[in-house]
Amino acid sequence: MAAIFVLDQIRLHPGKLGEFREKLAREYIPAARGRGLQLVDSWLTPPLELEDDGNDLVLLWSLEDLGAFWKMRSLQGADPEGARWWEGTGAWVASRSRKFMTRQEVSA
Amino acid sequence: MIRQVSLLTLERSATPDRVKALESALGDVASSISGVSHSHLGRHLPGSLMGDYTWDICFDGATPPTSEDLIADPVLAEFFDPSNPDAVVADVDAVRFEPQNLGVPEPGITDFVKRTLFVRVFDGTPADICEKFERDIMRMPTYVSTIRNWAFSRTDSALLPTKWTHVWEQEYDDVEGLQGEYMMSPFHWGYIDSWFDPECPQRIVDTRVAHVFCTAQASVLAWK
Repeated sequence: MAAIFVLDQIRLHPGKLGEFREKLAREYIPAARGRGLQLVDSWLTPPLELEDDGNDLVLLWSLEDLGAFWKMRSLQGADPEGARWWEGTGAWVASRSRKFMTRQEVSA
Repeated sequence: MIRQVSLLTLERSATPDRVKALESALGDVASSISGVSHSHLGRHLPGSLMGDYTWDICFDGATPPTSEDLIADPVLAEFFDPSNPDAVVADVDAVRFEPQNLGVPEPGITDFVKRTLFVRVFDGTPADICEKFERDIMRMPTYVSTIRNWAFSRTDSALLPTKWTHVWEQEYDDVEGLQGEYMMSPFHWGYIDSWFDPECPQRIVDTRVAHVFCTAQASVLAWK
């Protein structure tokens, strides 16, 4: 089976983008890699940091296949590190969503 | 109708002969113990998480024997009594409930696999969120064709105190129906699983679940 993609949409508190990016790079990304998640790309919307409102940081991750997905879930069950990390992000993150996706071809 | 689903863990020292006697006694309680209308005992297949057997029983009255009275019955006590050096059962993790949501289009299914999942929804989960979770679980048979029969129930702690909040049961033609299509369905991993995934913000179910499956000869979920 083809890759599975994971989409995180993270609403940040105003003024927290820089700190959160550093925290993400230093703490979460290396640990997530160990669970099979590879960061594909990341985006900011609106596309400049707002001073009077929060921005959304959008992260796209990939898992190699369905086996990698269930392996990740098994690792999460054995080690709650990832869940704890998200629980400890309240100073930066106002809200977030995580969705799972597969590639969908669209042609004109 | 009240059902009880028990996950039994054997004593490590239980001998094959004593285990065989247990299997005979528990599978036959419908004819040996008053108030029990149906019984099935199934040894867990490899891949199950928690216990060695699933013991399904159904009571035929509104006031069934308590769980304690049941295993203290003279027919069963020798297997459960911890003071008996020949006791066979080390632990019982059981739930009781009145069946609430059922889909049993194949009541005559034979020689199949029954899977049972005990889960615990976190205390404090808003009622509307819990109800959405329940509705989503019950959509799974629409998207997983190998589920032949199913039942999804809230446990009733007034009938039998338990940490588990829900029981999700399915009957499949074979193990492949569970370990294949059920696990591979995008509706499962790409949608339903987010209720269970500790890194998903919408998660409401404890990571620790009891996932067990066993063979059976006649439908448990079709009991009336």
